[in-house]
Amino acid sequence: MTFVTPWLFWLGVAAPLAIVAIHVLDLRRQRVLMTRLGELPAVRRMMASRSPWRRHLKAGLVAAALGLALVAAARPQVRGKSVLRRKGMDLVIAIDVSKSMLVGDVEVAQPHGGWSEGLDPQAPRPVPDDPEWVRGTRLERTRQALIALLAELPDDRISIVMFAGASIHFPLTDDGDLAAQFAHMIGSTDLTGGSDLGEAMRVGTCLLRPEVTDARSGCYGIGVRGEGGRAMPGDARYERDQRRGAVKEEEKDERGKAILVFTDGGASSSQVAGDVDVAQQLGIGIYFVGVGSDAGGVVPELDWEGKVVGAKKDARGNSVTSKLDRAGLEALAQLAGGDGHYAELSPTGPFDVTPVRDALAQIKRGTLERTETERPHDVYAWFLFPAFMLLVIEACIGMRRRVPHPEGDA
Amino acid sequence: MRRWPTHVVPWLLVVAIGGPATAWAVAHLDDLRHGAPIEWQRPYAPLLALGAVLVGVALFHLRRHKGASLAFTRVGTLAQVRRGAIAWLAGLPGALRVVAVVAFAVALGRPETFKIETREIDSVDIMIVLDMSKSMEETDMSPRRDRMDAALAVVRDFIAQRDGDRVGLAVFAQGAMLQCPLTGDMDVLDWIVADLRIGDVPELGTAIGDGLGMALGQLEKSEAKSKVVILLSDGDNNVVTAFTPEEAARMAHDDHVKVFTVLVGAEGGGWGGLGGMSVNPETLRNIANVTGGEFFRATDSRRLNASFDEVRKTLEKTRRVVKHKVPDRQLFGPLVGLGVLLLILEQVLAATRFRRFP
Repeated sequence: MTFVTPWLFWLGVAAPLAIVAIHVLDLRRQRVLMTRLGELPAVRRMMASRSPWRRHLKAGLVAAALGLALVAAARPQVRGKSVLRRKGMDLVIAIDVSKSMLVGDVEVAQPHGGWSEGLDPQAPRPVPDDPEWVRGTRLERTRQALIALLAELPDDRISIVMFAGASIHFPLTDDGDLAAQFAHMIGSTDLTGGSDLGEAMRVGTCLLRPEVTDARSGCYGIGVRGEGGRAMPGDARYERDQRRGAVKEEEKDERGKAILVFTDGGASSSQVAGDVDVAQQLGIGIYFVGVGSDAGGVVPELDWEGKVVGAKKDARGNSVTSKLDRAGLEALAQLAGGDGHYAELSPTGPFDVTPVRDALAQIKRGTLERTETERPHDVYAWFLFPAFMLLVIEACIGMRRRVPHPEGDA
Repeated sequence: MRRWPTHVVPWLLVVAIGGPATAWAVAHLDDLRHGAPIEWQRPYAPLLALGAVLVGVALFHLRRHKGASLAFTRVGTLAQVRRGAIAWLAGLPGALRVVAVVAFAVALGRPETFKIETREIDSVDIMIVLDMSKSMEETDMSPRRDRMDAALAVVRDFIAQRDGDRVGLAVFAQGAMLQCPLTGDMDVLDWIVADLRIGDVPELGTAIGDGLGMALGQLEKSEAKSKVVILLSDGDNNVVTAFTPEEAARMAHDDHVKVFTVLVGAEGGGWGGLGGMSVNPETLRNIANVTGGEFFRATDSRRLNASFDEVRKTLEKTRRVVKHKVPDRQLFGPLVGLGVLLLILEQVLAATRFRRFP
């Protein structure tokens, strides 16, 4: 055991002596005072209930407590394993990539024209005071806002789900840059048409609670590591893989889980309400972020390569328009727990992700990773807690001795 | 009813001392934390401060009954003596004790701050390129594994050995597809690899050149000093969309990317001479030769790992900064110090001006 400030340790050794000295001086002075009251033996009998031993005991306890507290203040440390816990939550960010998300009714940051063609990790990130805001799609604005949001959530594990009529998901990762790149890998042409919020809820639930969802709930293989190339008993990897499984089990404790959906609205049927309900029962917080403007715009139609080939037509041949479905999303947010569960991504200008971050701040952060490192470990509580207890005990000891007739025989 | 002030005064003293003490502690901790948020490692320990209430009750109220007493007959005379200022403040040492106990209880909550420690690690950027064509379903690997499973086993083993490198994954069959951009998060990569199944990309065809080309495209974006491709295939190129394997190999050579090739599949006519789908080690051997890499067979993944480690030592590493959150400051010190000072003050006062007698 070592002490960061050794002189405090020595003070801790010396302090009890000082307390004892004060105590002794105090007793002397008391004797002097007693002689002023009268003859010493007579005064002693008048104070038959006074217990000198309790007095000594109390002084001893305080002396010990003070010494221990000073030793604690000297910062005793032992070398050994100290456990570092990295805390965070598991967050599924579901991004709507239906065709309505390609409506160009919002602004996107366009620094040096580097943004629309996939994410370049070297490209400058959108900055709040960047003056270059140009018309862009809701999806692009969402992706840029995602990067800004991920910068605010450095400790959390993120899983990206891209959904339209179906969904594609990526595993939970600690690497925020990777999550942002995942979000750029999938576009509208990769998925069937539609805007199935329920699918996003179901997949998000599967990813976050694989231990309670199974093939029956439509979760086959989601959130569970696949079997490909698994180690067989006897392989060098086998034991290590087994160990990894064990650590995961331990990590699961009480870690907060949430699903954050970026969407412009869509088919919010009673089915979605049911899915929201299931997710909530499994302890998953659900938050919606509305993307798009109230004015709205025309939904484009794409060819198989992803090129825009005019406006999307409905059965009568009219162009389909889309605007932000605020009422629908707010209704879902009410199901998910109230007004705090809905935020809006402003259609123009710099991103303000603080409402989303603040909403997510309510999710409990649990242990994501335990690392044991050899480093000096503070153990002051070993001394401070006994000191604390001694002080409480000392205060509860009275000075009165049990005598049948305290002052009776005086 | 004239007694109530004597009950209340000690608690007022607690507030009078505890208030400034709290203010001092808060301001001091605020100074010490340097902007980092305080984390309480034992968040429930400060509940021990309830013990202070017990102390207060014992010191201020039970003393009346549990204290030692002095027999004195002329109580009437005594009652006429007015309380002096010190008598009013008789609870002062007790109040000091209560605040000291609270300070200790709060200190036991183990407040500390964390800092982000940056550590530089040596890094090489590696793209893994995996063949997922139909021929990878051939079960000619021991122990009765298909080629795909054997390849995945090699990849997962390789990933598990990485420490500090950034690794990405591209797959190909008829065409090429990026599965995972370069990342340092090996767990997520392992997850993605374990989930691969033949059919994820249209499986009829083997476009080695396209797969390699896609990996090179990813590596081009990176600024790493050394870039490596690990290519796993059974080697029979039969589809060319963008690049032939030879063109891709030359591009890799020009970009100073070393390509390590791993042949997956048994040489010599497949399973028991039944004429399974053939393997073609020559293509892979050529790619490895052109780019200055090495050629392996999937049966000896241990050799792949060992040789790769050998080669990695000779590669120029990029210093990559990784961040760790480590404990920075322990903030219990001032709280313990405050408690100790109050305790000493209490003892000195109780032994001198505030002596209780008997």
